[in-house]
Order: sequence, then C-alpha cells, then structure tokens
Amino acid sequence: MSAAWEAFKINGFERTSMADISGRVGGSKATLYSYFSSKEELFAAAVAQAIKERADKVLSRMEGGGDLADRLAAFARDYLETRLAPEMIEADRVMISEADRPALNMKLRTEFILPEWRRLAAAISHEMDAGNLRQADPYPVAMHFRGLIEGDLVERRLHGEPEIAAEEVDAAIVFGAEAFLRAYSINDKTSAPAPETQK
Amino acid sequence: MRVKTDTRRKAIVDAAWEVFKASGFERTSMSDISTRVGGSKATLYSYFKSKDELFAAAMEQAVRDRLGDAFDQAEASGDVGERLLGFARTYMDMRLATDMIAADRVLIAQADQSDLGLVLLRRFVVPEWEKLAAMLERKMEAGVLRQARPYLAAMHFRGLIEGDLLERRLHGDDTITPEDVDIAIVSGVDAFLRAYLT
Repeated sequence: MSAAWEAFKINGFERTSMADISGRVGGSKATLYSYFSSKEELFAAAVAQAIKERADKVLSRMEGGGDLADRLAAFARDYLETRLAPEMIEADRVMISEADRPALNMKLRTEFILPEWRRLAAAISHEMDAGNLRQADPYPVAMHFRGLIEGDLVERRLHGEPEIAAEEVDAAIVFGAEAFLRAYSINDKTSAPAPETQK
Repeated sequence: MRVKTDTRRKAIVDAAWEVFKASGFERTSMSDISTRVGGSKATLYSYFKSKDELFAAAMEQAVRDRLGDAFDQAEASGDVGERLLGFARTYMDMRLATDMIAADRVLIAQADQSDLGLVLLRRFVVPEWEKLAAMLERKMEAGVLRQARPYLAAMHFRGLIEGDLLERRLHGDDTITPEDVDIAIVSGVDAFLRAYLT
C-alpha cells in the first residue's frame, strides 16, 4: 500500500498501472492481484491508510488539554497542512473524477473520512459538556469549524492553484478560529472583545 | 463572414451546455456542438477559438442564469440576516445543482493539465464573492457587523453554509436532501451572525 501511494503520488492515478506498483513492491502482478482485485481498490486502500495516519496526528491537537483557542488553532494548522498537501489534493481529484463509480468513494467516505470528522465532533461535544462551548448538535458545529478554516482554500487547490501563501494560511487559521469562538464560545465577549469595547 | 450577434452567441452557448451536460466534456467535440446548433464548424470557431473557451462561456452563462443578480441583491437594504438567508439559498441551489457539480468535476479532473479551472475561478467566481465582501464591508462601516477583513468574512460565510455538502456532492454522494440543505443554510447564517454582528 505504501508503494502504491508513492506511485500514485508521483504519477497520478491514471498514469499508474498495477504493473508499475508490482514493480515497486518487487513481486509479480499476480501476487498484487491476490491482495487487491483492481487498481481502484488498491487506490482506496492507499488513500484510507494515508488518511488514517495523518488524521490521528491532526485530531490529537484538539483532544489534548489546555486553552481551547490554542488547540483549535493547532488543529487548524495541521489540518490545512494535510488537506492542502499535493498528494491529498491529487487523491481528492481522483475521487472527484471517479464520482460516477460511487462504490469506491462511498466506501472511503463512510469508512474513513466520516469517522475522523465524528472524532472531531466528539471532541467538540466534550468541550460543550465542559462548559467551554455552548450546547448545539456537535457534528454540524464540527462542519462549521471546518468551513471557517477552509474557506475557498481547498477549492482553489483542487482547481490547480499550485500553493496557498503562508500568510493566507495563517489568516485562515487565526480568523477562522476567532470566528468559531465568537459563534460558539460561551464567553465570546471576554475571549474576543467586541469592537465597541475597544473604542 | 456573417456578423456575429449576441443572440447567435447565446444560442451556441446554450446548445454547448446541453451537449456538455449530456455527453461530458471529454466526449464532446466541436463538431457535435456545431451539429446541434445547426451551423458549420467554421462558424462555431469564429465565435469560440477552442472547446475550452466555449466550455468557459457555457459555464459562465449557466451560473448567471441560476444566480441572476443574487450577489447584487445581497447588497440591497434591509435586515442583514434576511438578505444573507435569501442569498445563501440561491447560491446553494446553484452550487449543488447536478450540471454545476458535473462541470466542476471536469475542471478538477483536468486541473493538472489545464489551467481552465483556475482561469474560470479568477474570472467569474472571485469577482462575485468580492461583491458580497463589499456588502459586508458596508455593514461593517455602518456598525452592524464588527470590523474584519471583508473578503475573509465572505469566505467564512461561504464555508459556514457549505460545510461538507459541496465535497459530498463532488464525491458522488446523492443522498443529500432538501432538508439537509435548509438546515445548513439556516444554521450557517445563524453562526455567521453570531460571529460577526456587533
């Protein structure tokens, strides 16, 4: 799977053949097919593995103790770094162009993507119980946090923008986390003073 | 050569969009489109010099037909919450429509070989969001919304109402219900107002 991921990363999905991958692994194509029945299935397994490895690190930023604003910002930074990375954008492009074969994507979504977002929702739910965030349905709140930090950055990368400038990523993190806390923090007025109190 | 007319151009663009929708971008040729319009390929090329250019024009037209002046309307006076709700509804209907998702998939799939997607984004999409940002900026100056970077605030608005719906549609998830979209709009606008009202 790691060899497949490397091959997909370098050559893209279309230009990678099962022969290329078995060449990298150093076995026969027959052996490869005994593990994965198609290139799509191998791709799905490789993406799933990549998501799992990265998501664990990203989510641990949110789950630790300490100041909530700091944890939100740390999560946002690791998340964007992962989400906007070339290999993840390439994997997403493959998923999007293969969308008329929903079996591949739905398996990836329900078994690997959704559970990671549920883990973020669980962390948010924990903050609600601890009195740090107001009570609300945690999953939509997780999607709001995600939407606030992503803005148009993922769309721009998917459409071919080669990279997002560091200052822009910084602004997405700082102001996204700020807007999230204003919308959901119980102490929003104290943690983020409203403009009239600054005058 | 015949005089190029706006009516003729619009007929070509509309026909092209129908063919792209039915056959997909890759499998559609300029000949297919000229057959559909009922003219020669030479005439077609006198209006659009490439399939990419025609696709760009067709997509722009389809977006405009759906959005109308929603981005301009958002600027009209009245309660900011009501304005944003109305705008969010028009925007999401357009963004999640089947043909728009299909077009977006084409652009994303070929993004490593062609800069068409990026060109379209910069030419048509960014200026529309700038209109929303200008409206938010006026509300900031009027003291209704707190001071912030207007374009980033517009992106926050967008991220809040889209959530994961766009990604799910792009990945081929067709289980999104109109209620899911309603909830996303209402809760997204609510969160935006909590984050930005003074």
